[in-house]
Amino acid sequence: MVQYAWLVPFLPLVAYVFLLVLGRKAAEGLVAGVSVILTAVSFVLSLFIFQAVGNNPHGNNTYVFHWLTVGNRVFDVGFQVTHLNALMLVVVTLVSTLVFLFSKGYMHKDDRFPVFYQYLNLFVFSMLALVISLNLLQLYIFWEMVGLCSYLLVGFWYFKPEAALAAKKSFIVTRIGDTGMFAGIVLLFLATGSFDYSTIFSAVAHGTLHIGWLSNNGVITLTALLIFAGAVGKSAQFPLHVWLPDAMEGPTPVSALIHAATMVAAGVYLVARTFPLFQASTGATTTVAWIGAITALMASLIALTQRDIKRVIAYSTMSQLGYMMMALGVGAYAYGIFHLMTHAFFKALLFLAAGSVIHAVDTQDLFEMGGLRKKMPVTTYTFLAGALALAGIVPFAGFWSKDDILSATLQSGHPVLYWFGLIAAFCTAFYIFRVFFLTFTGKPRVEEKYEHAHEGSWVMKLPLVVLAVFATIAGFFNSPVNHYGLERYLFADFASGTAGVVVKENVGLMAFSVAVGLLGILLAALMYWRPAFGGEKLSKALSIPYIISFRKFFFDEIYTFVIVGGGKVIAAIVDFVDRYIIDGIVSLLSWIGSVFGTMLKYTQDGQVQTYSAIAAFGVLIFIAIAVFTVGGVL
Amino acid sequence: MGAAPFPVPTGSLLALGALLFCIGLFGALTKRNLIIVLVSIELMLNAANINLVTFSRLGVAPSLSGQVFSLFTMTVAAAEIAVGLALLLALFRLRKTSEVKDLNIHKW
Amino acid sequence: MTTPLDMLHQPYWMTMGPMIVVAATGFVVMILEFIFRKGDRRWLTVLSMLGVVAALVVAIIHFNAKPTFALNTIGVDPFASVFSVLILISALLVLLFTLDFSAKSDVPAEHTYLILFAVVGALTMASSIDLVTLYVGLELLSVASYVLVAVRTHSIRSVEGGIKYMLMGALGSAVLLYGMSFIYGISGTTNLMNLSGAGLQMFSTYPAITVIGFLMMLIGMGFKLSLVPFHMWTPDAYAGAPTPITSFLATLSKAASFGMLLRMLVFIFNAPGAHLFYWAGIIAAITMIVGNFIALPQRNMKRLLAFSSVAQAGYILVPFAMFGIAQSADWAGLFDSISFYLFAYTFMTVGAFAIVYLLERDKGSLDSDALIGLYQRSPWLAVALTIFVLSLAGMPLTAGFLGKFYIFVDTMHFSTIWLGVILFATSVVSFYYYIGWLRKVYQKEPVAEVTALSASPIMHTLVAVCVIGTLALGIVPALLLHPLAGLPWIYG
Repeated sequence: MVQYAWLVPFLPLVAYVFLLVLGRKAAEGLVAGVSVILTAVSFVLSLFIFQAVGNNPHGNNTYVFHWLTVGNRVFDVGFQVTHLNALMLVVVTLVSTLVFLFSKGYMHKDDRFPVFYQYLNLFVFSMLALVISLNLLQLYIFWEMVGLCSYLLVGFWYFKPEAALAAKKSFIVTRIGDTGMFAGIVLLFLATGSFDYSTIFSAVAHGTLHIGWLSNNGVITLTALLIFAGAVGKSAQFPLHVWLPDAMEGPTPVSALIHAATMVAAGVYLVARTFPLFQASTGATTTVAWIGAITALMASLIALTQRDIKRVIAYSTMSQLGYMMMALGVGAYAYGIFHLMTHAFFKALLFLAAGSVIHAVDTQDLFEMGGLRKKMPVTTYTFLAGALALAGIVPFAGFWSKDDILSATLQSGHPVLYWFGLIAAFCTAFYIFRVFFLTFTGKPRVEEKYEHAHEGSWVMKLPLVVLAVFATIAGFFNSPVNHYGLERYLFADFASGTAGVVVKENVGLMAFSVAVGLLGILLAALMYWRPAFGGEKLSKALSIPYIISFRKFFFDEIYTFVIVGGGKVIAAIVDFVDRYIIDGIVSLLSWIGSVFGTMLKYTQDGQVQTYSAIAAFGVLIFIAIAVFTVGGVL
Repeated sequence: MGAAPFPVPTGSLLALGALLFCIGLFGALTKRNLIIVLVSIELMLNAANINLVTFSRLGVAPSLSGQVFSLFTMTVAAAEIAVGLALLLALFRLRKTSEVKDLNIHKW
Repeated sequence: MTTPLDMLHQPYWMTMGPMIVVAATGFVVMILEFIFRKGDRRWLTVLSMLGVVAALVVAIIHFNAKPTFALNTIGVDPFASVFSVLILISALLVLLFTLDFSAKSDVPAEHTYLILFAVVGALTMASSIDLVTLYVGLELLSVASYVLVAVRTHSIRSVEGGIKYMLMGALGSAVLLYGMSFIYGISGTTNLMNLSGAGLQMFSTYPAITVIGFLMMLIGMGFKLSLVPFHMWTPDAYAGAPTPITSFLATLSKAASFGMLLRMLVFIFNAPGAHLFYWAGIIAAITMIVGNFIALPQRNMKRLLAFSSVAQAGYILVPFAMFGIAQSADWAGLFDSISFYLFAYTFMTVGAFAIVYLLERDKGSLDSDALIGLYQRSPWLAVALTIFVLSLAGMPLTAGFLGKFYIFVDTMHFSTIWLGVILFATSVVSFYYYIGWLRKVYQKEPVAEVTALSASPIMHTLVAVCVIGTLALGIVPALLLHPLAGLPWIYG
């Protein structure tokens, strides 16, 4: 079964090519149908692969094809299906299928409906190919491709200036991280002569990574941090997080698929994929853990005050990705991945439900909504499931994974990080229920928008329901119910049979974090559902923290000042050099070239005897010089 | 093979070949009539033939293959000249000239 | 009792099979051409193609044969196999090209069997190990090509190109032969197998004569390969010849000459190589520089492609310079680079000429302005031309890029990086004129009404085959490198 894993990314590629052939005028039903069916087949295939890998944990899962030889260096392409990869395949294909279905309703009547599906298919192909990449070079290629697709999709409504700007911003900010990552990959290649994970890990295990004066440990820490830079960019971690909220300018299904469930998780996936490298360096793991914790807390604080429903969820995504990074940083490998999985389900659900709301009321401002529960029951209750999962309320999915992470953080001896996580959890529960109460309960705030609100067609409802089911039950995949099955599944990738921290059950800790979550919900309810005290008053009383949070810790302003201001100076210098020096040299060179060429051209005077004379002259010169250098005439 | 009854120094024969080669080259570069140019090229090929035959008799390791080679060369040269003359005829029919310098349509 | 299949493995069949098949087809076509003088005679071309396909099959059957030589003269070995396959593939492409050409113009039908005889000559050059037969093969190819260039006897351009080619070619033959006579003189043998053992002794006893012999052989072949400064006939002959014949000169004739040069130089001069082969590098450098710069101001498409083929010959000559430095264990890589580039070069060059031919027929002009509006007139041909041109320039994902890349890696590997730098720099120059073409291709035609560019199914097939070849080798080089990798280039 595993040998067919290449089909999983291949089918979306087929869909992409097919849609490309159909062109921009194709019928919506056909476009969406082909995409949904092919990704659904991919999903079924992934399930079989998932099972096959689990049944035969030590079987051959690597398929290598020889691609290029340069000198003695051999470059391979191929694919590898580890347990981690198999899980990722399932998650990505499932969410993709549902998002494809949902988009049929959401993008209905858009002028470029087929193009949207083309981009999405290309994205799904790249993402799946990234997941089963054999080596870092291949991963990097697809990493850039998903970045490109994200750029295209964020800027899908390019006629909106905000969308075009956001697309550019997302591309540039992630490129900053990618540059570091590329340097890291190249360094690893220089140190080991290979891009292969296995070769690199065995070099790490044997401590044979040396480059020049850099010691083994130096190389490990340096490369791990450089690769982490790529992950920071892609997963929108502090300090490269600024692009993600802006990326919400893209269509909402895109936000659900790319900016919640899959692409942004690629950073976490990358750290998990290269986990042995990170584990070999305390400096690197500590950095990962702290960056993750800071992001988790900061993003949840910002989310408290945002007015735009998608932005709240975007900050929430950032915060949850921070949790995952923190988990990997403290060594809780399995729990980071577990949270990645549950988060993919409930965050895609929240985004799609938000999309359903936006589709209905045509606004993203929370304070223009309200009371939608009566008009949109399916959306309301599925959103509620997602919100409960996000808030970490037992027994919803988020409870299990988030609680595992918090316990692992505490048990591995990081109490400070634990408190970061706990405060973030409180904020999380608060902000998501703030959204819930503002949107679905109470009285409608803008009457005319409320009037024409309605539930979408079945293509929009079905994905919500399916995801809601997963958001409710996915937590049990790694719970006492199945003897922590997912954990054991993931650990099979490691020769030692385990990786990092394994938590002991601690009912007290569990109860404590659920209580924190409930407290957050209670506070939100008191402020926005049955207002015991007005949110207005509170925000006035806490005006300074409120403004800091509302203005997102002023990151954009600081970046604009430092980077854009600094950039302007550099740009001016570069511009000057470019305009007057490089251009001058280039035009001088091309002038010399054309003069030289023209002179040579006029040697072709059409007289064959000139040709032979020049040739004979050449013979003579060559022979004279050669005989002279060899010496000993005759 | 043994020594020749009237020994001719190898150097002289090679010099003859070289001289012939240079005369042929000079003719090919300077003569205005295409026929003479063809004849000059034939001279250059014959210079090589003289070399081959000389070496076949008086070379470092004399052997018959030099003479065989020269027979082949003569045949090949005849074919080459035949084609040359045919092309000359075609040219003459079109341009009423056999001067090399009139081949001047293709240039630059 | 010998079955026909056993016969196929007799030494004569094994070593001369492709030659016999092609020559026999040539004679049959010649006789049939005499008998059927009227009507559409394109079936003769089809018959010739069938003959070439049969020869290709024979060549491929013996591709991995153990080195065997009949009469100690003509043999099958890795050189012979690789170059025979290359020659026969380009012969097929050229014949396909002429199939369309002979339908549209009034060329005499003898050019079909002349091509076949030229192919026999080329195959002889690829598989002989004796100077005599090598020379005869070369002359068979050359004489047939002189006639082919001038085959339109009523066109002064064609005849003039033919005469210039003939004069320069004969000069080259004379130089080559003179060089060969010296090598024979100081070794006493014309057989490459015997010569390969005698190289070092020749050099130590008669260094000057060895050098003269080496240079005259290199230069004599340089006339055929249009290396600078022996290249000046190239644009005239290319522009004068019918375009299918131009593509024949640019690919088949060049491939065979490279095969012969490689075989002669490596067999005879391997031992004293360090003192000799750098001359190939110097000539390659001059060729790359002059070929690319001289193409810059060209407006005539065929002349530009002619100069570009001069430059390409320079690229292919670069690995020759490394034979003096590399240990014989490393030679296989150099052979691979050379043959990979020749395969790549064949596809992209024939494809480019095919499209130039379509435009020439359509507009009656070879000026590069004929390219304007090609994208509007036929997007598919425009994209195909883009692929060929980018491959010639060396853009990644095309065969031309990998070909240059392998050669570049060779130069790094054997510390002749200066040649690699020249290769890189001159291909940057080449981008300049190739991009000039592309700009015109995607420019809008000034006239309001756009007429589609018509092309027969044959030409579409030809272009498609070349596109597939160029892209396939560019994306999956293993297709070619894998069969090459297993070959025992060095034997005996």
